[in-house]
Amino acid sequence: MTKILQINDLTYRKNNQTILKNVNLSLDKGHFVGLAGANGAGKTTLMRLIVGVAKGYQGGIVVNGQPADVARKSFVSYSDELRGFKDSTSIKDIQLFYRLVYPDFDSERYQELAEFLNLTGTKRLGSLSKGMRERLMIALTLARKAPLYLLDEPFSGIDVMSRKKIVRGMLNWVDQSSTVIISSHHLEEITNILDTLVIIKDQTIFDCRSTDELVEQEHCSVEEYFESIYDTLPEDDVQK
Amino acid sequence: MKFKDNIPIYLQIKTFINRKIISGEYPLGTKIPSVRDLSLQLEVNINTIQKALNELVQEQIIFTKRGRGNFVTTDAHLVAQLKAQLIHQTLENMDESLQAMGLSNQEIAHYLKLYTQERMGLDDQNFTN
Repeated sequence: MTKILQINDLTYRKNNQTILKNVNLSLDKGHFVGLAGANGAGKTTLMRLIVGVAKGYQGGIVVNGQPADVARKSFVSYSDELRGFKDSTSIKDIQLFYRLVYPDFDSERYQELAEFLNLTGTKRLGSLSKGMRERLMIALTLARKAPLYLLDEPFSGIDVMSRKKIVRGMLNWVDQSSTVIISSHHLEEITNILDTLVIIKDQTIFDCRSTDELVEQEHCSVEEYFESIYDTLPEDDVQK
Repeated sequence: MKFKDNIPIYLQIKTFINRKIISGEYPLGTKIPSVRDLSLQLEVNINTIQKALNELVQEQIIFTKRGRGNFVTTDAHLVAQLKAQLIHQTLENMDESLQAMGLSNQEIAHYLKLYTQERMGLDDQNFTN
C-alpha cells in the first residue's frame, strides 16, 4: 500500500459558511508536499480535518488506510500551535508530555532536533519568541516517527538565515517512507525540497502536481505559477 | 546548490551529474554518491534525485548494481558522445543569444576569438604572477 492520504468528496461548513467543498486529494508515501493558498483559503482547516481535530465534515478522509479519527491521530504528527499548554509550562515538561502521549515519540531524535534548533529545555512556553515557539513545534512534530507530518506555516517567525538551515535539515530529519505536508506563503524558500505542490483556491483543490512537471508544463517557476492564478482577481482581493 | 527556478530541478541535477562524469570527477565505472547523499549535498528531495538518476540509467550514462548503488558507465565512447552533445548545447545557447543581438556568423566568430585571446592573456598573467 503506497497511499498515505486519500480524501474523497470532502465538504466542510462552519457557522453556515462553506470552508471547503468537493475536496479530492490522493498522496503517496515518501513525498514532500507544499500546500499553497491565499490567507483564509482553508490550508489550516484542511490540516485540522486530516488529523481529526476538526469534526463534522462530509466525505471521507483515510490516512494510511485507516478512516477512524483515533487511528488518524496516531499516524499524523501535527502540533496544532501547542494549544492546551499553559504559558508557565517548561519546554522540558512539554517534551515529557509528548513522550507519554505518543508512543512513536523518539526522545533521542528530539534531543538532536532541539540541539539543531537551539532550544533550551528550562525555558517556559510563555517566555518564547514567535520564532522560538515555531522551532519548538518543529522539533516536537518531527521527533515523532509518523508516516505523515503536517507543518502549518512552520517558518513564518523564524529569521531568514536559520530558515534556510532548517528547510535543508528537514531532508535529514524525515524518514524516506514518510510524507510531509508543509503550508507556506513563501514557496520559493521550500521549492527545492518539495516534489509535489497542492494549491487550494475557491474552497477546493485547484491543482495537485509534481513540481518538476509544473515547471515543465507551465514554463515558469512554481512561485510565478502560483502568483499567476491570482492575477485575474481585483487588486483588493489579492492583497487580503 | 543554487538552482534556476524556471527549469525543472531534476533536469538541472542531470546536467550536474553529466558534468561531473565528463570532467572525470566521477570516473568511468566508479560508484557515484548515494541518492541520500546527493539529496543532502544538493539540498533537494530524494524523489527529485531519483527521477534524475532514473533518466540517466535509461540513457545508459549510469547503471544500477542491485543493493550496491549507481555506477558511471564504463563505455568511454558514450561519455565522449555526451561531452560532444553538452558542448554543442552550450555553444548553441551562446550562439542564439548572440544572434538575437543581430550579430553575423563572422562577427560571432570574431568576438569569440577575441574573448578567448583575452582570457588566455589573463590566464598567462595569473600564471606569471
